[in-house]
Amino acid sequence: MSDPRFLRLAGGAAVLAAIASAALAVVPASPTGEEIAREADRRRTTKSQFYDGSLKVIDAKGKTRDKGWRFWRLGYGGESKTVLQFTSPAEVAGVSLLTVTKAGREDEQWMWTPAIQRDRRIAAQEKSTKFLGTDFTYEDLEERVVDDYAYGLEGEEPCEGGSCWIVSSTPHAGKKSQYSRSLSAIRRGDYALMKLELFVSGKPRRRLVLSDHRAVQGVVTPHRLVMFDLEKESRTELTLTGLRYDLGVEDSFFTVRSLQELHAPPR
Amino acid sequence: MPRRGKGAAILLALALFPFPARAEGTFSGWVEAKGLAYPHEGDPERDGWMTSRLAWESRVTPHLLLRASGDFDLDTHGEVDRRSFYDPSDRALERAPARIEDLSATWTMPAWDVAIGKMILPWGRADVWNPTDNLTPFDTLDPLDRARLSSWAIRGRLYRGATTVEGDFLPAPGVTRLPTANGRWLPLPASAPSPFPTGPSMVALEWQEGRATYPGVRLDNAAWAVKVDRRGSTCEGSISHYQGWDDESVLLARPLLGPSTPATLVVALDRVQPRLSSTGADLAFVRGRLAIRGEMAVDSRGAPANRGFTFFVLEAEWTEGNWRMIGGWADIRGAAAVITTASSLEQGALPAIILHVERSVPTGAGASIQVIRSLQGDGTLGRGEVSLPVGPSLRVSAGVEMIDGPRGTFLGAWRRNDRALVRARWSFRR
Repeated sequence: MSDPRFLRLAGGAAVLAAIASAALAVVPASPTGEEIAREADRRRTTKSQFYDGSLKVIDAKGKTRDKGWRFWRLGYGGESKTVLQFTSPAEVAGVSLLTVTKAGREDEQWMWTPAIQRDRRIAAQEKSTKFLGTDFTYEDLEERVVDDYAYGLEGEEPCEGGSCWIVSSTPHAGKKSQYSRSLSAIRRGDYALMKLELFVSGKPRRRLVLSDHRAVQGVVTPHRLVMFDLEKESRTELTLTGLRYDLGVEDSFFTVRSLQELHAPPR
Repeated sequence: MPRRGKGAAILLALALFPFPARAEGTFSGWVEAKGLAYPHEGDPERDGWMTSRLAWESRVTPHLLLRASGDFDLDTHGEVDRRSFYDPSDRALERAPARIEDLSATWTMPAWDVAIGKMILPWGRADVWNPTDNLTPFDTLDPLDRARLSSWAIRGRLYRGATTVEGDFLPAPGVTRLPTANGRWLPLPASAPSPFPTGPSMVALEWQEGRATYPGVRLDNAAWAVKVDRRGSTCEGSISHYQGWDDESVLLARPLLGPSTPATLVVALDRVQPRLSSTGADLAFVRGRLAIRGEMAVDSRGAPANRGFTFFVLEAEWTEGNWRMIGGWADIRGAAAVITTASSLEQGALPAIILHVERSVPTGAGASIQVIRSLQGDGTLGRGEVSLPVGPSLRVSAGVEMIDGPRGTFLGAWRRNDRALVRARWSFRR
């Protein structure tokens, strides 16, 4: 024990341990809100997506209306193209909507109505407008661009499957949004979004609850989304089936021509 | 009208039957009951309609799309022919109970597609009237609730980026079905100055359906059309040309001296379909919640109309949430018409100012109000309708249509046609 070589070795180990402790001391015990938001966004970014959606819109009196649609997306965030085709009820089945989103520009939208065999270029909707009679607004259905918001970490709370970070998002001055602020509950471990509280002028206006998370091609994805309109006391339940990512769907699918020919989804 | 066509409909059903068994397809359709009540005297005072549609479509191969759909109508007041079941030409004065809406095959390739068969070919980007929409005629037995009549055609489209070139060939151009003579929508004068040298100065008129001179199905009577369409980020439009026949017949009065008496002049109402050459354009410009749409056609109608005119429409649309509001102007400018009997708003009510307000949410409640103010004699047509879904498959609607105008004007002739309507439609899809 008194061997000089041993003493030098022990001293070196002690110095190393001290350096290591000091290094660990400057790494945060948990990541920042922005780091969490960016990691969550990175994990769910995909090149394309398809799903069959069935919706139940329930008003304040409990009256229910069911709808169904198919949805395709190419691109993500501020640069994307989507096609939505109603599959039910029968009176709207076949009605299709093409939306082209480009960064810094207005969305371009066309609607195809099979009953009159016409397509129609339609004006961009106000983002706060409810989407096709549901409690989701047009803004709610867009993928958020991470760079458009400032983030903060507000704490943690228990959630399904573990513990969730609560991350606040505030749109930057140049970002047009109906929401002054939102609070996201993001699950530790897999960075799954579990809940989203949306505020208008500082008051909670909508709440999105996401559940039935499953890994689809490595992406943890909620298969059930419920949007609550806290003011009108209504809600919309969206259930996803047949969800797939990175389909290999081509850009030529997202054209007005395709709306007229949509009879089976590209596989 | 000889009984015919039932065999054709049965053959059609049998021809289509194997396809559902082999291909993945979609069956859909609807059944609608509609009732109209007129507070003013006239024929009829109450209308009832029962209309149904059955449709099937299938992509039998990645490049072949098949469609078939047919309508079946019944009514209470005799506008649906009760003597025949199916009329292949769809040129009769009355509507046959069974009608093929769509019977087509479409081959689709990345850069082009070709469709052959019976189909609807709507053109134009405006909402209320479409001056360039000449390929597919209408059934205007009820001019305020027109139905489209599909045409046999070959349609080819070539796609190059944002540009589409379309060519259409119609071997048997169709005819717009006009309202029944001396009914509510085609009132005819009851008397006229007597042409006889003796007897009373005024003579009563007795109207009869006369000859219908429609173009026979021959190659030199075929119609063709071409359109170049381009879509951009904020603006899209097309230019087009149609060479064929005016689907709206000209009505000519022909006195029949044989059966006439000094007190009563028998007059035959002949229908003649003039040739039509139409060069047109349409445009849609969208910026934010504002959309501007315009459409124009320079038309030349052949004998007996011998009339050249320009028909144009300009609309501005503002969208606010689920509401949209359209204000517009439509007019026809050109040489005065030879004798025609206007039976459509396009012929008789222009120039006109249009106002249309509509709330539309898929599967939700809907409402619309439309006012057309004719500047030709200061007539007005106003209509409003609300509709509600009842369960997942049924929609009920109720509405009112009111018409006013000075005597001797087009809308004035329709001023006794105020009406209330109710409608129930049950839709299905498998």
